[in-house]
Amino acid sequence: MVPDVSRGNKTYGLLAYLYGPGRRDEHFDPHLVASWDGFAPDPGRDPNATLKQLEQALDLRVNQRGRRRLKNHVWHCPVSLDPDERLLTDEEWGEVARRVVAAAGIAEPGDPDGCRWIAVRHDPRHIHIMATIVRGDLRGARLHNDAQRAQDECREIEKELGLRQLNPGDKTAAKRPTSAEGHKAERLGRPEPMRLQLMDRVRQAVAGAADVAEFLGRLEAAGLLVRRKVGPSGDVLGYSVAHPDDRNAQDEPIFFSGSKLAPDLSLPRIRKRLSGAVGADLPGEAQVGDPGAGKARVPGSKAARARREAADAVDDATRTIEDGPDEDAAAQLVGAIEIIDVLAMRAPADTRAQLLAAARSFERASRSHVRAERADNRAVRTAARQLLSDGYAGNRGEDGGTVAMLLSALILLAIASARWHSARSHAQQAAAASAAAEQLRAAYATVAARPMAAMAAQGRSLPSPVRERQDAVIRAKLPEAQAAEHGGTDWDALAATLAEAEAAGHDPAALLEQARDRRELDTAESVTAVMVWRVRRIAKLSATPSAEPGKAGTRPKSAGPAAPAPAPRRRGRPGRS
Amino acid sequence: MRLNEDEEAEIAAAASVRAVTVGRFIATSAISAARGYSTATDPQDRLDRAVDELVASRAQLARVGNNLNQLTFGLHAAGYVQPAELALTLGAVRKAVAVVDDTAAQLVNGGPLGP
Repeated sequence: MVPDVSRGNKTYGLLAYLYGPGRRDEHFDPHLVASWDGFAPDPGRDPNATLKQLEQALDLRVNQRGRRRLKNHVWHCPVSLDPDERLLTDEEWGEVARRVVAAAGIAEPGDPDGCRWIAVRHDPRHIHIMATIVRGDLRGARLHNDAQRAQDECREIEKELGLRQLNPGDKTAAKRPTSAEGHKAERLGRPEPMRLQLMDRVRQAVAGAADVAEFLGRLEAAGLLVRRKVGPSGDVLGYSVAHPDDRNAQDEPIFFSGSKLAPDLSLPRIRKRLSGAVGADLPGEAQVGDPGAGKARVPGSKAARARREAADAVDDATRTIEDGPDEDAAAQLVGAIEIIDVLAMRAPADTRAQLLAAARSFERASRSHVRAERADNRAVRTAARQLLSDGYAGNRGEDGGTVAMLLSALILLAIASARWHSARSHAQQAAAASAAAEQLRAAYATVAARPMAAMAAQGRSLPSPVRERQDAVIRAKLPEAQAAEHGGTDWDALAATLAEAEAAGHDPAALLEQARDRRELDTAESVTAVMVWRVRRIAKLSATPSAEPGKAGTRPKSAGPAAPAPAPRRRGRPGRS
Repeated sequence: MRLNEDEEAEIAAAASVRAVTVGRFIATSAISAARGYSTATDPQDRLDRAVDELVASRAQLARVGNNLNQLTFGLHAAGYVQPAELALTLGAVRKAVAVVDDTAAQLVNGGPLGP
């Protein structure tokens, strides 16, 4: 049940709309369900009553104030229900209206001087509450924070009437497109209002940007019109963007300032976010690698390596979200949305839409009142920047495998953020993070299907002593991998992965131990799938199953004793630990 | 104009009771004193009082009407046939409310009445 408070100055105009046919002839049987004293003239039911009479009655106190008019004296608040909710009776709607006007400060029960108001129903699923805000003592009603109070009251009413309970907001959501923007998009045959597209583009321009100049440059490079607001000092104080095709009646482009797109997209907020330096240079060859493996080379292209590193950064971020202080966790959420955005920009067409949807959901989860202004999210942002600068990656072979690797880590991060938010009663953000996890899973399913199937095939064709050894390790080290998973694709793939790691000189048990040292595992849908990618990352194995030794492993292998073969890759062997 | 604190507070209170600014209140009082009638007969005051009375009678009528409505509802729920007089009375109440509304609107829209 959603109330939507607005103000206007035409009493008769609104009444004429409420009792009229509607914009598309959609109004049905307009009538009052409640009014200030229950005896307002109802032109819908009483043949002797007229709209004019109703207007005069509502406006009595407004006119009595004479020239000392109040600005926008008409208070208007439609209250609507979701299409799949049960219908309310007129009496229930009347009670809803009485409670909303009491909560908003229009008319409290028992106050003889309360404002005059009516509730009109012309549709089964919503009512319009309309009031004039001059009280009986000729003062204006006290309406501070009225919209929020109406919202809060509706949350209570939902509980009492057994309706679906909506997630209360905290005023950090992005501004939604107005209904006029929606109508315009429909008229012009656009899939969605321009505001949403601009928000995506601006978010993508921030992702991985090193400084404000680069950010604004990227906006222009994306084909948008950018207006800078320059102060007397010559500093850029703000910006607004417009799509060249989005014009108003005078054929001028319609600009949106950053803060109108989302609260954290204003220039000052972006500047704060970018103030922590990111590694602006391209990742050098020597940068890759970690202490355990010396100077070992990681297989794959630059893009693939950037994805591996991003996956590591995402895992660290997940740990911070779970255990770190609030501020640090919030910073990681901001970093994570940048990674998802960059991944969406650099993804092949078949997963781009899914990733963009995930980014749109997670965008809501990246903002709460826990601000992250001084906290450190350099690692994640640097990873995003490297992803960005290392170009496009396909969905096949090593590239596709590393995308799955990164997505597997991002899913866990999204789940961890959903938990983090719900523990802090950020209901909308928690719901958004869960939705993002779902969308990331969909993208993962697209990307991981091929490499997983190949690995599983490899796992099934392992020589039985090797296979039994790996099965035993998995059973011993991963008790949470339920029996149901045994024999499934993921289990086979994990066995193949461990066999491959063993062949490369790693100890499978130790690897598994190291990889499962994360608490969030119990939320994963398939523990073994997560472990496949972690083990491959830690052991620096190729993200796709190895083919014949010495050949690039882009081809799924159907049979053959692959396990004892030395680890693959054309650029040399993985290091020994 | 010079006032002590008590006087100022008194004037502010009186102005706020009439829902006008202090300046407006002082101007009205000065004019009515100059014209030689007391504030009790100030046209704006009389108009406001008349409107308030009409609003109060409307509230009374609405209360009667609501009681009648409940009576009808109760009778109906108990299975009695609704007496025709009840509907007539409700209609009369509605008509009375309409008359009160019209009068109030005319009063307000006609501007201040003469003395």
